[in-house]
Amino acid sequence: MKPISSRSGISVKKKRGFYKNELYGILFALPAILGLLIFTLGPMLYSLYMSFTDYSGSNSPDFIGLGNYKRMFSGEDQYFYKSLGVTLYFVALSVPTGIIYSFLLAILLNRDIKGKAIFRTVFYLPSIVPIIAISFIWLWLLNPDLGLANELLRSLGLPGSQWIFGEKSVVPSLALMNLWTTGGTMIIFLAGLQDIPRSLYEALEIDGGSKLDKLWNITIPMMTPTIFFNLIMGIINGFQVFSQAYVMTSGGPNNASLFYVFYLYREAFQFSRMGSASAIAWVLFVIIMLLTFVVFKSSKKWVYYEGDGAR
Amino acid sequence: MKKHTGRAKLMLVFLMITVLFVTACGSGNTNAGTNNTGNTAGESDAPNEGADVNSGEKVKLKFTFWGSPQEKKAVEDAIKAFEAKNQNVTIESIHIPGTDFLQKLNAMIAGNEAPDLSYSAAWKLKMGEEGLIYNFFDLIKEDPSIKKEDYLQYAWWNWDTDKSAGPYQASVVPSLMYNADLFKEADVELPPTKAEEAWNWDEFVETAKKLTLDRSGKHPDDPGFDPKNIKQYGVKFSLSWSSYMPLVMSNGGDYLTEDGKEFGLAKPESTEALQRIADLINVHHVSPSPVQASSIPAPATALQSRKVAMVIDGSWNHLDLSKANINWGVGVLPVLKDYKSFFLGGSLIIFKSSKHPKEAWEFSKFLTDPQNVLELHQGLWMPQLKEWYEDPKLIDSWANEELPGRPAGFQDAVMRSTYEHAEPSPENNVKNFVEIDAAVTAGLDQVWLGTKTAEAAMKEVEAKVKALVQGTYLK
Repeated sequence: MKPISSRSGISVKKKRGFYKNELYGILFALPAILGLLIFTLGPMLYSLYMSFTDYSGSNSPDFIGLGNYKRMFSGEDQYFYKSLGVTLYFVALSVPTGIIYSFLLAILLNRDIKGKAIFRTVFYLPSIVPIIAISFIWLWLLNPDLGLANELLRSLGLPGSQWIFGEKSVVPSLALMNLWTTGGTMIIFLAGLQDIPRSLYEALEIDGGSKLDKLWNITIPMMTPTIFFNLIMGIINGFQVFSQAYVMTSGGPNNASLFYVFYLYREAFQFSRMGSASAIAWVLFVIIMLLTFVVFKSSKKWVYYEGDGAR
Repeated sequence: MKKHTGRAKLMLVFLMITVLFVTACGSGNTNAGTNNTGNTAGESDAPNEGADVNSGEKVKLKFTFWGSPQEKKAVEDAIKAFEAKNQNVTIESIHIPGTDFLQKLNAMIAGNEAPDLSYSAAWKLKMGEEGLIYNFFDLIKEDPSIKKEDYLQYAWWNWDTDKSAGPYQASVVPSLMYNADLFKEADVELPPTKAEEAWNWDEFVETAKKLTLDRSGKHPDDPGFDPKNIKQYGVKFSLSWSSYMPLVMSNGGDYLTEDGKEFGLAKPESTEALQRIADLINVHHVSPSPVQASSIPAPATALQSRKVAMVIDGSWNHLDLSKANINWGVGVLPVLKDYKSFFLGGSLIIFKSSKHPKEAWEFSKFLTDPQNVLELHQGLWMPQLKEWYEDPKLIDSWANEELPGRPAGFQDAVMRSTYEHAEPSPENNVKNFVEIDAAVTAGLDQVWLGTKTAEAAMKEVEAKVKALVQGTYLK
């Protein structure tokens, strides 16, 4: 294969060679492209169609136009706005805290300290534990009567919390739990930090800058592309939070943790309204798309790419 | 600048791909569905094809069910017994865990691979409305060996008048269970076992107080009692509808009002009962709140480990209790006015797509006959056929108090008290129950936690479920 293609690349005219290469490229990418078309795009379009039908999962779908969407936006389905609010609250809490926490952690773990490898492993470890297992661990940690969290607060003389059993405290509790699983984000930050040229810091040292100056004027600006990436991923993952509600709270108390995807799940598999569940899924798709678009737009203002300045 | 637009394009592609990938799991939940209605038979046709049960033609039935390992084994044994009796029939049984059941079943239906018959929960009513399953009343008309009146009065899953997805295949009931040792230690009389002698509410609260201990051994009425450090609770309510509804009914309330037009739980008789249960938690401190209950294990273990002295929960816990090494017993439920309770259970449905509805019918009859799954009826289930509550011989075969799963007092406290005071259970009586219950459960969260009165919370729920209140099926 290889000698032939390289020979033809030389002997054949440039233009034809280009097409041939393109053909090979597409051929090689075909498994992925077909996979996307058949297993992702196909079901997606099908669910788009379903979202315009009354479909219980076992009947033949009846086309009802925008009925499902109307039901959601008109407030006839009382859970739509509630779950959207709960989810936005969770995203607003968990994304910034997650990014700040893992960023600070990455800075600490980027220093030359003894046992660096061990610390890195320890902080990364929770993110390879399945979320279901994590949920069970935290169910015990956050138990108001026997849990470690309240025990700790009590030993400090502070009042305990109801954690996931309080209507007001359940989402913050889950956001706190989310911090524990940000090991992946931390690793990306760590890689980003190691890409920052030493020379920049050295230059700043010569100019007499402090450690804070280094952070503010070099580290953070140089890290903005990484922060940007993690922000997008964080938002997307935040909107799709599900397992915690499924395992720990069942959406309670009083629907205070009725996350959007849990609401979708309930609509589909408890209330047997697949059509409406498809509509819910598509609204989520559009929300995430719009938010991602907004963040992308805003990125021009605050994300710094090395080399851009030289244009 | 050129470089910049290139990057922007790349970003856009990245954006599209990420969004596409990560949302795919959210939107791909529907099953590919094909038209399944209008199969072999029309809307109300009884099966008229399929060979006679004992003829030579080989018949294979597909049967989907759920259940604990013990239930699975008992059902599989019953299948073997049925196959031995009907040589021409083989049954392919598919055990599906309860949480995935509907999802799997829907996929099978959509792929034209629907089973011949299946266990089923409340979703069966929709399948009935959509014409996917046989009307039980049509099937029973064809069979002289059994009639509608043989079953318990309210043991029906109907989707319309005269359209039924079947009677319970077996029943369970709300039940009060206790650890007798704790009563002895506190020198308290055991719960009554006869419905006429049931505790009124004050007696019940008094008893529960005597059985509640904080870490220093004090009772709720003692000076210095610490409600934050309770070691042993007098009673634990499961806080689901199957546990609070008997008390609501006992006070003259019900899920919907008598005419089925209004949300009954918001009426004073009902909210009073609900408030009494909440008061057990927040006023009398004899019962754990949902928060405290989170650190209390399942009923059998909770009784065994002396976390609670009494439990009001489903009778399906009897099985675990009989296996735990514990001196346990059963009593009648406490009442506010009259004694009321109900049976609950699932039913077997037969799909219209079945090629052998006759054999499926025979098998469903076989499996719902307690005789053929007697082992399960001696500790986990209760029969759904009246005869088994009337004929002393039959009673003795499943409710003999010498059986390990049937403690002393069982026949009075569980069997007769329910049989003689049975009302319809809201689950198979109230239309749109699953959705109304979701709203009620959320509203009651606040009542159990003491942040709202039952009256206020149920008034709010009433407004939310207004459109869902559409009457009842049975009464």
